Amino acid sequence: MIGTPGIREFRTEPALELPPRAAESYWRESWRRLQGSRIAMFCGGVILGIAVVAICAPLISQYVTHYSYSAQDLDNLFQPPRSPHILGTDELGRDTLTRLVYGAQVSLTVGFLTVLLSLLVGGSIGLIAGYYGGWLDSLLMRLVDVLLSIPAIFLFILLSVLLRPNAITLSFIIALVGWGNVGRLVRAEALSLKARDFVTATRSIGAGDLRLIGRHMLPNALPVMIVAASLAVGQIILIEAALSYLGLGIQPPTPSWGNMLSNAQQYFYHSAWLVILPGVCIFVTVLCTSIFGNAVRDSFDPRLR
Amino acid sequence: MLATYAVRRVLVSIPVVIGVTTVTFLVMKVTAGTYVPGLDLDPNLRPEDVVRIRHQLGVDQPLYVQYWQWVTGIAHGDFGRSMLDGTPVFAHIWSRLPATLELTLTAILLGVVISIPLGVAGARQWGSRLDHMLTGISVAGFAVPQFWLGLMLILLFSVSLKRWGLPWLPSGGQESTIGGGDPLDLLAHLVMPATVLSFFYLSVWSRFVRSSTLEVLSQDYVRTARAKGMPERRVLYVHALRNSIVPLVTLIGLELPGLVAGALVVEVVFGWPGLGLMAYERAKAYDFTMVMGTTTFVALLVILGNLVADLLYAVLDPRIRYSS
Amino acid sequence: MREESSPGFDRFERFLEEWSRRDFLKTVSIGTAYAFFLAGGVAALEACGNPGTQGQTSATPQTGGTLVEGWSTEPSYLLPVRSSDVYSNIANRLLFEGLLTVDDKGNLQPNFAQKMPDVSSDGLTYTFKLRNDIKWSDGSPLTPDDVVFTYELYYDPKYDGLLGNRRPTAKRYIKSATAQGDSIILQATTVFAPFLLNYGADVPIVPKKVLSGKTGVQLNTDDFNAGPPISNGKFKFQSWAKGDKLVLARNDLYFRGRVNLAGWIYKKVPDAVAVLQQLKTGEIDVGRLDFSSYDEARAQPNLNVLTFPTFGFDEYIYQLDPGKPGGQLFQDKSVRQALAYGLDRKALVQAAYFGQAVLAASVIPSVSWAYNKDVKPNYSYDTKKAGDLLDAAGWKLGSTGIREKGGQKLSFEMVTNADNSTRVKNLEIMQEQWKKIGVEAQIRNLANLGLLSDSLTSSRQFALMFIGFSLQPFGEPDQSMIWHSRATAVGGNNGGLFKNAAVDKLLDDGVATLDRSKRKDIYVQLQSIMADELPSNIICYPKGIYGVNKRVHNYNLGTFWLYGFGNPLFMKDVWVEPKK
Repeated sequence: MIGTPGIREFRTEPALELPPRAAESYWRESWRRLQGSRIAMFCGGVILGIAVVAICAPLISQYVTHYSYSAQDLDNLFQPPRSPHILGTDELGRDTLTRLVYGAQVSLTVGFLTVLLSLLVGGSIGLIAGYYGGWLDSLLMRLVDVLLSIPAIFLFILLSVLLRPNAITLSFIIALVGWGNVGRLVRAEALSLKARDFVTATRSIGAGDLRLIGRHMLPNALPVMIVAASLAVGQIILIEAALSYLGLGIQPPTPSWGNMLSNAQQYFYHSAWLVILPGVCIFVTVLCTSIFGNAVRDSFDPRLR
Repeated sequence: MLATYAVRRVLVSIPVVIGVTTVTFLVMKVTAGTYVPGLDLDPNLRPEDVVRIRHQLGVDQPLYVQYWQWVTGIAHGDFGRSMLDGTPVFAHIWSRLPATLELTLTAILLGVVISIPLGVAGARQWGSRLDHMLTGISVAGFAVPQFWLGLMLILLFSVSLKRWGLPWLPSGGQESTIGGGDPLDLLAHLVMPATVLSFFYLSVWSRFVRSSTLEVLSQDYVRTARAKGMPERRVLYVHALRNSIVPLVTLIGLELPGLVAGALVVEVVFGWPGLGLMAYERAKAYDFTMVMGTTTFVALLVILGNLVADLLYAVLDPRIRYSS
Repeated sequence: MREESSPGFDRFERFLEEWSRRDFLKTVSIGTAYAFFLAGGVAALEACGNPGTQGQTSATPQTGGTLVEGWSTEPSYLLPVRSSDVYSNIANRLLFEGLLTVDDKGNLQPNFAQKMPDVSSDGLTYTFKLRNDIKWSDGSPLTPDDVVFTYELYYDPKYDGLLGNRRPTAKRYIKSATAQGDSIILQATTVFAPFLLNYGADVPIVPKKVLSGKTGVQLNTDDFNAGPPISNGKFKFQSWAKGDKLVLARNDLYFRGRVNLAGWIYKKVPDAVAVLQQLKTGEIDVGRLDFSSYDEARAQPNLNVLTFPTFGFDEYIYQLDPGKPGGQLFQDKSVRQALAYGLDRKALVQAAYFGQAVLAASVIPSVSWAYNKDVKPNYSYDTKKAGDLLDAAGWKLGSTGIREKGGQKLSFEMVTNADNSTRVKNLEIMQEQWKKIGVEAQIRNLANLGLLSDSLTSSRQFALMFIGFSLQPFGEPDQSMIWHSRATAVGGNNGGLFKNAAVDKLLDDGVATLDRSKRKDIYVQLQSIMADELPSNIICYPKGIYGVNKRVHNYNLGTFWLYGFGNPLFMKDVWVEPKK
């Protein structure tokens, strides 16, 4: 029988075992664990690289490609990758590389901003619900149930049709609809934290509720939030791509990977790279965020100690 | 007791139902106000026609009256009227529902049927090349956009196969336009959309089955069973599987909203005549009442699905009904 | 839903923890390779296709078989007078026909009438003699009473409340319709040159015995709209699964004899991309193609691609009412002309229409007999001239690169419907080109054509709108419904609120005489004034592009034989080979 697993063998991965060491802070220790996984660091590096590229989009546009993302060259439509257009041109003669880079800006902005907003809203509500308990908890959790029951995409479509969102407003829309999962997770964490001794102790010395939540419970709930966040980024990028495919996400001429893919779909016959390139970008980004996110959880999740 | 658990679960669902209807009502009113496309600006309509149609749609009443009508209407199965042609929303929902159910249930079935052997195989040969390959495929499945996968499959199985004179799959719709309707034809149309829809969940569920199975296989009672000479197959499929089926059910229940959402995109890509495609087209046509009526209906379906999943779970796992 | 985390949820969480405790190097590379395969491999496969067998050519028409047409919008109303869109007319014109029809050159021909009508000397009375061999599909004869009843639906005030875009103009021009023996007498309210084209050839006759006794409002939602029980055209109604397909069957009692086709299906297809896909796979036989699909469609071994000039024209309209957004900016004619000089329409036609459109020189399409190809001014691409005109008008380049005058920027919003990719592209190109002459044009798209039409005909809250028209009847040069000042009323198509007395007069004179050479002179003058005043800039005349499966024969769609108007005579001779 190949590798009959014992309990230990599949619960911890050797690569993440720590050598015996004096006690360190939680964060340091987790960070070390994360560094131990080469794949995760590689993926993290990739994401960092993409983020840097996205932030430097205007610089790249000016100094590397020498094109803006909307400059059209109607005499050079559908050029294959070759100089001076490193990755070719699209249906209006715009430089593909520049647009991909700006598209990274849009996709990553939507991904991270949405997650940030979800954490803010979901985290606050989760902490409050978990801490106070009782009817407030029930009420808030029912609200979460309501939000989680309504299939988000129906609401997205409705709101997108009406508001024709840009990257910022799209983030708000997705966060508004999707904070529920984070809320639940944080609440569960808050519940378990509430029962811990340090909470009782802090209360007994007369600390106010807000102080307790903010200074004591929040930092302890952070790992759970980080874990949820790191996995969500990839999914949100996929949502933005799907909305753009439906014609409802970011509107042209602003490039996003999703709307580049959707516009180029009808030209697959003769310019397949216009479809493949944004698709690969999406795939790689989502894959790397997922892997990195999982590794973050492996390293940072306090429940796995 | 199962009965008390069931009753409690149902009771807890009621405020959720009310919450859903409230949220959808609010969204409807906030987004649309009382603007009715094709009505407010149609110059052929005489003033008395406009008044009459507005009354029919109920948009001339004060807000709380409209809300009450909305909620009581839903209790009777009245999900409002379309803003485009005044026809009852529920009639549209009812006519498109079977197609979406067919797609979603097939996708769930496909997902379960494939992910269980896949997960079990991965667990059995834990750490092997096969396991890593399976893991790789499922991780990739997690990251591929659904619509992209659909487009690629259509390109491969509809267009390219046809080009080479091989039997090909139809690129959209539920049945062939001419001479369709027989089971084989329906199946041919169902294969690609269901595969695309299940793909994402396949990857998640197979990983889940795998880890769940691994966990069981490490338990003492399994060691005992093995020591007593029980064939490995029995160990896997009788004990380990039984342990993972139960949470898998809950997992599916949790994924229901995602499945319905995924169905929308798949329906659009493949032109599958279901609720999702209808909602999408109606949203573009600014028929908000239709969209929100459909959304409410689907949300209620999801709540029902979760309820059923929870009750099933309670039936299968006695520990649940006795806790708290 | 759960008081505390349910055990299942716990389980799920624990599972999430175990998700990725493996070395993913191999798995990542496998995953990535597999994604590349999906993308690249499929592309390679697509490229190296093997042509496959051609359809057998057979000269003798076969009877039987079904033709499937794929459209991305489905019909709304099968009662002709009720419909306001071309999609409904595609279907309802196959079910019902009128007194006259047009041939492939656009000339009027008798249809249900025995011969062309007698016209009184004052041009106001048209007398038609009805054929006595026209039958409804249930065998009953089509009588003059049916004809008169049908016309009443169009003009008679007792049917007020009946919706549809024909009634408002029909009421203006039809005074009465009466029957005398086997003759029908139509009285016009005034001499109206397009009268016979509009009201002789494009009023399909509907059965009195089925529809009489109902009010206009009742007819709006009558079941007839979803399934007429009898018809007099080439086909009769069989079934309609809304959102899916409308099925018609051959009408054996059609007066010209049975058509070759046994059935005809209007299939709803999700979008333009799916139309091409389904043409490729043969799931549909006929479909209108997007400009971007032209090359790809021509390379398909199983398709013929029909292209032909149409009477359509694509344009953008300036808002001329100073009270509306942007209206102030376009009051000055030189600004309007400068923007036209600053637009490279040739490049635009190539990029947005893939060359499948004729560059426009005037307001009237080039296939019309009234077209004047020497219209001046001719707005060729001249950025220097554009800049000079703007400078002279006081719009000087500011520090931001955008022209300014009196502290105001030359900046406005352009609008079109987002679901038409060609129009959206046009706006994107216009935005970039005008940037080069210092004009800031922002893009704001409305979700669908309905909203765009609403904006055009009612709210008029736009500075510049990109839209296309295809005026009917085909071949009739009158454009009063777009440019006449009376069309500025709510419901009219003069969305830019253009008012010009000289143009009004020419438009009125143009239809007030039946003499074609006189009309031509009038329209030549009209085109000159319109080119100079430039209330809108006509970009091009798009061609019609249709993909037709090779198994379909005699599908002679053309400039005059196009959907939505009259009844296509060629449908009688269409025949299909059996599917393999």
